[in-house]
Amino acid sequence: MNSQASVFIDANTFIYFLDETAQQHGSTITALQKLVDKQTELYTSHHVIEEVLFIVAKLATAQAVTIAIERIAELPGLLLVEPDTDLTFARRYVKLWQKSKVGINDALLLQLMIDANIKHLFSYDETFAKQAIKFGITSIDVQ
Amino acid sequence: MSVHSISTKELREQLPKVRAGLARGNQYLLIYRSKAIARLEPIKSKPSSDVLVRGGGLKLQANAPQPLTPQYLKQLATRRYE
Repeated sequence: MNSQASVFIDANTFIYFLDETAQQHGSTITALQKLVDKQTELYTSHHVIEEVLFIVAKLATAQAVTIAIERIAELPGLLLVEPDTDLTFARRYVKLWQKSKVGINDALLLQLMIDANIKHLFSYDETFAKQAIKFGITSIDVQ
Repeated sequence: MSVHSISTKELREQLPKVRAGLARGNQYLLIYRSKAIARLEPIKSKPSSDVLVRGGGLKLQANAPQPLTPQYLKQLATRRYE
């Protein structure tokens, strides 16, 4: 995996990607288009997708959830990164959680990125992005 | 890239070799009874600039009780554990 050309997409980015009434919608589409044009590998995980779908379900209808997953599936080249199928992964992200200021959920995502050697993050969550820097993961420039 | 003539018999017998050639960008002219009947060529992937990021489809902010800030989205997401 080419770490220079790999970006992990967070749940809030997907929400702004989907929500055409969001203030961040335009900048999100533009930034994603630039990444696609540069043939950047776009990654996320089922954990993030579930978070996105939960939020959409809370704010909209069941039909909107279907639209959401279909639009996400259309994102060119999106790949899913998933943990090992044993508990060593959980042990690692618990350790990471203990030495960082992120919640368990974000610790899991950081551990996924570390394990997959993904060095860039696309998230509007500044707190998460600041913590990610401590693990060598930098945010992409949305401007 | 180069074009190779290949008979239908050779194609049947040497398919793995032809597939490898296609992967290298080679083209093949398929010959049957001394006549060219088809051309085999690799499918070129679309230039990335042609691939459009679509998005949209939802109007969440317009129907939300408050601005969908990253903090609020995170707060909403934590409710799935409640």
